[in-house]
Amino acid sequence: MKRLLIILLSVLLVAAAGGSLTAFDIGGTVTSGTDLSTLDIAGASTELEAGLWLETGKGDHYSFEMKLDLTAAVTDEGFDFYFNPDYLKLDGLWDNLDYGPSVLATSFGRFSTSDFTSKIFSQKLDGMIMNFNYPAVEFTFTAGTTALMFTKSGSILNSASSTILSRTDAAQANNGTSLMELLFDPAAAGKSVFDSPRAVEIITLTLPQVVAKQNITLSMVAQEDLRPFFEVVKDYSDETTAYPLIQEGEIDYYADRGGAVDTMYIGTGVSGPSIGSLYHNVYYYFGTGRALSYAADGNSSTGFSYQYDVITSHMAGFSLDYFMPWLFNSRISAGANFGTGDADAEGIYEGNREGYYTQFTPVTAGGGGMIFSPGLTNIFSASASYSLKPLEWLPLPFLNDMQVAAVIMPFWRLTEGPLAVSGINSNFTLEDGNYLGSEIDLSVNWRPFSDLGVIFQTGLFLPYSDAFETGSDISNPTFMAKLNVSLSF
Amino acid sequence: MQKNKVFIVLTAALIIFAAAGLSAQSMEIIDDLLGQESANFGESVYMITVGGGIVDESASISEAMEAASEKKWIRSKTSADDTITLGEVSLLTMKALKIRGGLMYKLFPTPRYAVRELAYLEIFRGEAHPNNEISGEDVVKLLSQAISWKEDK
Repeated sequence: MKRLLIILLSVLLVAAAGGSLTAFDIGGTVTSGTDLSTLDIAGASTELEAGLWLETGKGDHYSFEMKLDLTAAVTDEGFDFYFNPDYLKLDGLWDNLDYGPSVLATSFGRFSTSDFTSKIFSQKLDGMIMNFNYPAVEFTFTAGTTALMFTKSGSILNSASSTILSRTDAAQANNGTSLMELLFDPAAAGKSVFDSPRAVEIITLTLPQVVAKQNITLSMVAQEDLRPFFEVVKDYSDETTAYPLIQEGEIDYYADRGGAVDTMYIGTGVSGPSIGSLYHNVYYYFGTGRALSYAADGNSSTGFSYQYDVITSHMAGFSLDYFMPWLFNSRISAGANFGTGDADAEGIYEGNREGYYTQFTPVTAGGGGMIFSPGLTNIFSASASYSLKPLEWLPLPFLNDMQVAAVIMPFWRLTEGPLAVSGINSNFTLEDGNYLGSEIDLSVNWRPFSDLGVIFQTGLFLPYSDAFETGSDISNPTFMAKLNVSLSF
Repeated sequence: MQKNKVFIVLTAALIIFAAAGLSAQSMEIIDDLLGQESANFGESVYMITVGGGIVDESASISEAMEAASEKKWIRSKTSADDTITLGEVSLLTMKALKIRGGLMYKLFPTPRYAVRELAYLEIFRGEAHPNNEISGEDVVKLLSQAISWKEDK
């Protein structure tokens, strides 16, 4: 509840700062989302979300924006309600500066952010962004925390925070509850309403169009588990925290508990035009950090003890986009990416038993298809897509912007090590191959009016049956459809 | 006024009066409007109605106000000497140039939804607050952007 108090105080402080500014506008959004799936876990569900937003600003430099959402979810199991502060930020913008950068932009509060690939970190963060834009270089520094994100905020319209890097994170997420449940359901007492408490820093340096119109990006992303800090503050003991960390040197084994996982990612990328209307984007990240291993120890009475090992992992990918504006504004894209795995790891979280830990673990999960979306861990995936505006020739303004896109994505694992997806057959060895399955997604994005949007998506995942445990959610061909309608007023 | 601002504003004026041709009267009104930190209602209505082809370039400010009032775009008691807001400029521009608005604009054609439509179309950038005052220079820029957008469609 202390963290809830911090959120409310933050809202009041930032709102007070924003409210002291002059002109403002208040509005709302109504969004409806419906899922229909052959997946047992999803079934058919609908969410209706009402959002209230406020914008205020003064002059050219400051503006304050806030949006609060209340979501009602109807599932096979009944009703759920979620409250979620979508964004809440005080922005600053200074351009045409006489000294220093030509543009300086800042944000304080809650905002969405990502690294330059969106593969390492891509979600909301509470903190600050400072963007310095010089004629020859753009520098962005982001720092914040995930500690105030809600673990549950719906499943269709809002994807919940997904910062799960350790066994402790997984335990906290499994024991998560929504703010509404915590406030109104006595059974939710003692459950966690907040996401894993982590500090996140992102530094991005972009050199725009240095050679042959190529943008070169250098990036550093780091995250640290804040639990050790909280535990020091709280005079740590197992009794004072619901999710105690295992300390280095501990000799007994705990299957459901882990230590702090602190990681850092150093990456680079090049993007720009290749030939004519063909554009490329190539990126690479080296992942390092530390994670606990339960490794052999001659000095331990059990023969083992927990020790921090170094993470050395890699992630890379590319995409090619060919634009054909003369053919219904169409675009052909192809790409691939991979994240390394650890062949002898015993589990997806802190599974290392000896040597370097080579499993790539991004800060936020996600990516891939609508149904099968494993994290970038021990996986290689390719994609080919085509999108077009088939009705752009019609003299009907509410139809000619409708976009249709289709994508196919095959997936392979890289090693016999764990994947960031459930249901993998433990007897699926390298001799059986590495192919996991393919997904085909089709989406229609239609905006008949500037304030009314309709998105329809369908997906079909065709698994390689040997790769998945019989009876698991996606061991058979799986179909899913989503319809999302949004009105802003 | 900085050199690039002069260039932008002159280009905007040329776009607005492309069809009608610049006369001494319109030059005088543009010159007067550009110097205003809070744009004058009458001169703004004149610019918008001329740019939309509602009145002739040789019309007076009162004739432009009358034309807008007859079409019920402005209240009949509005004084030409008042200052005009961003919302009022946006609504008049939407009406004069027959820009299709969003669903909410179709239901409630008010300054608020006019501002939001023009912001969505990137006809102007900045805070989409309908009650904000607008400078004369920004009226000219907004109108020229809207005319260019309309011509591109």
